[in-house]
Order: sequence, then C-alpha cells, then structure tokens
Amino acid sequence: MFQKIVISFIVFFSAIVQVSVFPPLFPERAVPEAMLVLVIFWTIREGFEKSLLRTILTGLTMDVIGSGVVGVHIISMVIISFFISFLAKRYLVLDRFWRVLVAIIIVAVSLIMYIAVEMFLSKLIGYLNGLENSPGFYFVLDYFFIWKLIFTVVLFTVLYGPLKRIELIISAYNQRILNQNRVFSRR
Amino acid sequence: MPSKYFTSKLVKFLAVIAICLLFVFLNPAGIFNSLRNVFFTLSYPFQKTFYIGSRKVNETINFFGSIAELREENIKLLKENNYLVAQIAELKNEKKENALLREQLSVIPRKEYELEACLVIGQDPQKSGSWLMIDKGQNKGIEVGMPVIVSDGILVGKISEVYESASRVVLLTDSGSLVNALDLETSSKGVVKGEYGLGLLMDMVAQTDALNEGDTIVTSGLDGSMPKGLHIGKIQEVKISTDRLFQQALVIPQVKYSKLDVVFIIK
Repeated sequence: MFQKIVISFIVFFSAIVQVSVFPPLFPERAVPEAMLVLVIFWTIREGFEKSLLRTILTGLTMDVIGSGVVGVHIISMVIISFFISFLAKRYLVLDRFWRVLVAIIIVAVSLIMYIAVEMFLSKLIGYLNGLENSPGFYFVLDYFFIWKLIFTVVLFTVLYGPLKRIELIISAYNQRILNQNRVFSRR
Repeated sequence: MPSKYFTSKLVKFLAVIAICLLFVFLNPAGIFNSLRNVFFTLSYPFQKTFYIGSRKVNETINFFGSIAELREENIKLLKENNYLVAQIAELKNEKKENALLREQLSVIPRKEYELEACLVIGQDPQKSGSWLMIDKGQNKGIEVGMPVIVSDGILVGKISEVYESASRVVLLTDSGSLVNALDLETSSKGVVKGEYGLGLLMDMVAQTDALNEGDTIVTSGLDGSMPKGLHIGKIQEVKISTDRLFQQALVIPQVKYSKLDVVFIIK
C-alpha cells in the first residue's frame, strides 16, 4: 500500500512538473520527458511485467493531463517499456562505465520511439477522423529534438539516484512490515 | 505458432495494447471527463504555484543573461517611447474625430468585450503551440468555444475543454484549429489553420484576391463564434496551394505562446 501511494505521488507530481514547470524553463519543443524517464527507470530496475502497472498509470496520467484521446500515451509507454526490457536484459552489463553508456543510449532510443509512436497514433487518429491537417512526423529529428534528447538524458542521470533511494526506502519499509507480520503470526 | 513464443510477458503486452487500441479507435466520448475533472481539481493549486514559480525562475535567469544587452535595449526603448508618445497624441486627436463622426452618422459605439483575466498554469510539453491550461473554469462561467486573447486584442486560441476550476485553450497553431480570417489591407478572406504547433497558414484565398507579405491578418467574424477584428498575425510568405485552386499565406503569430502567463477570455 505504502509503495502504491508513493508511486502515485511520484507520477502525479512528475506530470505536474512536466506540464507546468518544464515548459517555461526549457526552450520550445525541447522540454525533457520526465514521465518517460520514470518508465525507463522502472523498467530497467524491475523489468516489463513488474513495472507494467506503473507504466500504465504513467501513460494514463499523461493522457488525462493532455488533450488527446485516452490510450495514446499508454500504448506509447507500454511499447517503450517492452522494448527497454528487451534491451536491458541483453545489453545492460555489469561494468559500470558500459552500464551508464548503454542506459544513456536506451534513453535516447526510447525518446525517439516515444515521439514516433505518439506521432504515428495521432496521425492515424486524425486520418480516421477525416482530419486532413493532423500532425505528422515533422520535428522528430530537428535541432530542438537534439536539445530535448540532451535534456532528457541529463534528467535521467539526475533522477536515477533519488529514484533508486526512494525504491530502497520502499523496500526497507516493506521488509519491516513483513518482519512485523511474521512476529505477530508467531505469537 | 509454437506456444513458446506466447510468454506471459508477450500476452500481457498484447492485451494492454489491444485494450488501449479499442479505447483509441472507439474513442468513447466523455468517458474520461470525470477523471480529468478530478485530476485538474487536485492538481490546480500545484500547477498554478509551480507554473508561476518556474516563470519567475526563467525571468531571473533571463535577467542575468541579458544584463549586457540592457543598455542597448534601454536606448532603443527610449527612442520607441518618444515615437509612441507622439503617436498617442495623434491617435487621441483621431479618437475625438472618430467619436464626432460616429455621433454625426449615428453609428453605435464599438463593442467593448467582457473579459475574464486568467493565469496560464500549464502547457503541452511535447508540442509547444498546441494547448494551454488556464486557471478559470465552469466556476467563472467559462464555456467551450470562447475566444482567448492577450491584452492588446491579439487572438491566441479558443476554449476547447472546460473543467470545474481550469480550462484548456486550443491554440491557433494547433493542427485542429480553424478560424475565419481577413487581410486587413486588401480585405481578402480565407481561413487560418494551425501548422502542427509551428505556425499558421491562411488558406482558401481566391486566386483573384490580393495577399502581400507583411499584411496584417485579423478575424473576419464570419462564423459568428469569433468577434471580428481580433489580431492574428502578419503574412510572411504567399504561395499557391498544391491543387493550384487557392492562394495560401504563411502567417507569423504576434505572440510567443510559450511566453504567455496571462490571457483574457472574451465572454
């Protein structure tokens, strides 16, 4: 329960930061993806299946806070989580240097995929709704995108430590509760 | 297909994607509105505080970054101020003359809008120029379709979704935005639509009409939902549509949407 509450808080505040704090601070169209960073972190640490509910919650929050059709961000996030778990299992080696490098590459590739999937779905929805002027793949790899990539990678490296610490606190708390329950059941 | 490919991971992945695709394509209208309402009611105070805070931080950073340019800018502003003082004097004279002429011709005074000032509390983080969140909603009588302007009558968009204490503004540059417009200099009519959050395109202008670079584009008020004469932007480039039936013009918006912190709704 404690874990669920903490994760809901993290997702809620990350969404607010993503929509209300980052846009005024960063250049237009180069806003880092805080929610994507969360999904990447959880998938790398827990794997696809264990982090699936968190991924869905993150996608749903983005869908709710955004103006589009509900489901688009969930699909994007789930696809990315699936892809990351595939990469992490094969390429996240023990060596610290390579681990950091591979993690950074994973963030970069995930961001490209995330934007591409979201754009594709928006285009498809627009096309199905007869909207001729629906968004296309316009700024996937332009100057702003490179900045967005850099900012997201930096955000990932900055957030990795605190998120890991929160995770440790949660598992320590869970362990304590488990021990207490064992003591009570023995009595 | 061999069953070894159907791992629980793949099954879960496909199940989630299938359910979400159903949501996306069936697009059940309004099913998530109550969830959005609850979310915005909870997030409203945080969004407002965080947005104002980050704007202040941004202004401070910009201030320190622009100290070197301040002297130059000051001289430029002083010159501009002198020019504007002269222009105000001229316009005051014209205003008097205008009122006198209106009186003589029995023309009713120009309509003054009932405005509701709102703070911007959020923006689309992915596609800048798509939407804004503002801090007024149903509780202040805001309705879908109301035009949103900045202080000097410059149109920025219209209300697309209304919640209890917040609303979403779809900006002119959003790909779904469409406004009837008019070239102020040549009176050519057309529609202005968003260009994927990047700019504006004036389309459906007849080949016989004149469009010139630098012309001012305003709302024509033809559809009735938007008042006439709201400033949209200036023409940057004129071209012919791909089907060669109409003229098109790239219009540069008058405001930078990412820099907005206060907007006004015309009620």
